[in-house]
Amino acid sequence: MNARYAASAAHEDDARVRDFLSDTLALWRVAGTVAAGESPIVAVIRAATGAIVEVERPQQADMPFRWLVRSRGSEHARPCASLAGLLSGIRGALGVERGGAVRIAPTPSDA
Amino acid sequence: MIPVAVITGFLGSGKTTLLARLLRDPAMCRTAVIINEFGAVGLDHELLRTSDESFVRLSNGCLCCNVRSDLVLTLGDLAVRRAAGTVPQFERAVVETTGLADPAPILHALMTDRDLADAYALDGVVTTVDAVTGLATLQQHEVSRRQAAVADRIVLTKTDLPDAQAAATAARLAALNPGAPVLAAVHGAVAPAALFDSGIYDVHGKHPDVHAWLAHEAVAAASGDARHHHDDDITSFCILRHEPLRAVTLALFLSALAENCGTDLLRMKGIVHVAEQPDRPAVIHGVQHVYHAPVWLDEWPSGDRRTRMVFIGRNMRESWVRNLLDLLDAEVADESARRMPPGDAA
Repeated sequence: MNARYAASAAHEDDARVRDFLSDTLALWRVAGTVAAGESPIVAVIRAATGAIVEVERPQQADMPFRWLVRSRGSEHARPCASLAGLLSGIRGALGVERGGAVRIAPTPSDA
Repeated sequence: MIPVAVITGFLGSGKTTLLARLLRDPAMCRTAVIINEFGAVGLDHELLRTSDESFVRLSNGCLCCNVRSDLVLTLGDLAVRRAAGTVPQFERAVVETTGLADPAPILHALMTDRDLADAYALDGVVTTVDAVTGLATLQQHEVSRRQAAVADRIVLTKTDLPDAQAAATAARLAALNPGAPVLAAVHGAVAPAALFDSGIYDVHGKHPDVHAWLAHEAVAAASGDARHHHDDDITSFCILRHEPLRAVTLALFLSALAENCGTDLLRMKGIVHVAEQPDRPAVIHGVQHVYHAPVWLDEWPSGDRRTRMVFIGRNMRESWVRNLLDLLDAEVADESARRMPPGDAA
């Protein structure tokens, strides 16, 4: 068990993550719900299309990632190093097409 | 650096009238004008009289759709000819879009082309809105709302006509884009100084007026005003933070915005207190997923060292942006603590 994550991942943080994911579905215009799951599952996302995606915190200590995204029934979970990666993983699992990678304009000095 | 301003506005909103009037002003005498006309036979350029040859017409389609490369090539060519002395030494460029153009792709082209970056800097966006039909146009045409939403300055035209709804239109525009001043113009009469040099990029070596450029107080006031929560799907809001942001948090934040908001993030600008550079605020500015490289100011423009970020977006919730930033910040802080050697934890 990753004690640090276990300590810092208070229930209120998980609730905030679920609220955030719920807002994220609205942002993506995806009809669906976000509910709590049994530990270590932080959130269960049910899309109106029938897709179900589970978000977990890793259980093993010192893992180089913070989140796992898994389509229900799949043996494979996608590890994500940050919340930004988590959103990318969920988009992939739900088949959501959104924006592209951030692009920084060139400046005169490096042009 | 040559500032490039974009004049946009819906069909018939008075762009050409405004531009024609501006070009008669002596302050605009060294201006290169690029007009994009939609259709095989352009007319707008016939309505303009310029004093030199720094005038180009693009008529093979809508600038936002299929001639972005033409715009880039044209600006690049003008810069080369200017350097060679074969066109006058223009000090400013103005691009007039078609009335149907979404300005965002045009801004992307101006912001991201490497060849242009040495010669030009995006100055700002001026959007014309017709006081007679503007309300209905804003209601019916999303592109019109997008044109208003990305503006740095809005010019309300035809306010002298009997059917003008100037106050109602101005209120609607203030709801769409609270940070953009709305200037009334009769027959295009607006002083150039009121419209241009609104950008944050130091094209004239002057100290940028970050406060006026960001206009975060107007946005914050508007977002708390019940009148601005209407049926429109375009919203604006301001995020304030007292605590500095780590650079990696900022990078993750901008990346997540780009990837998850897509074209719904119409415009974002801000002044950021970056933890690693506490005495030099970073000015950031993005249109959809494209951002200017941060401009690091030499010092804070005032005693206010809070991070202030203004967002204008479609179908975007302030709570989502706020939670994204808070959660990322907490993650980065946790990760930093986790990687810290045990002895340094205290």
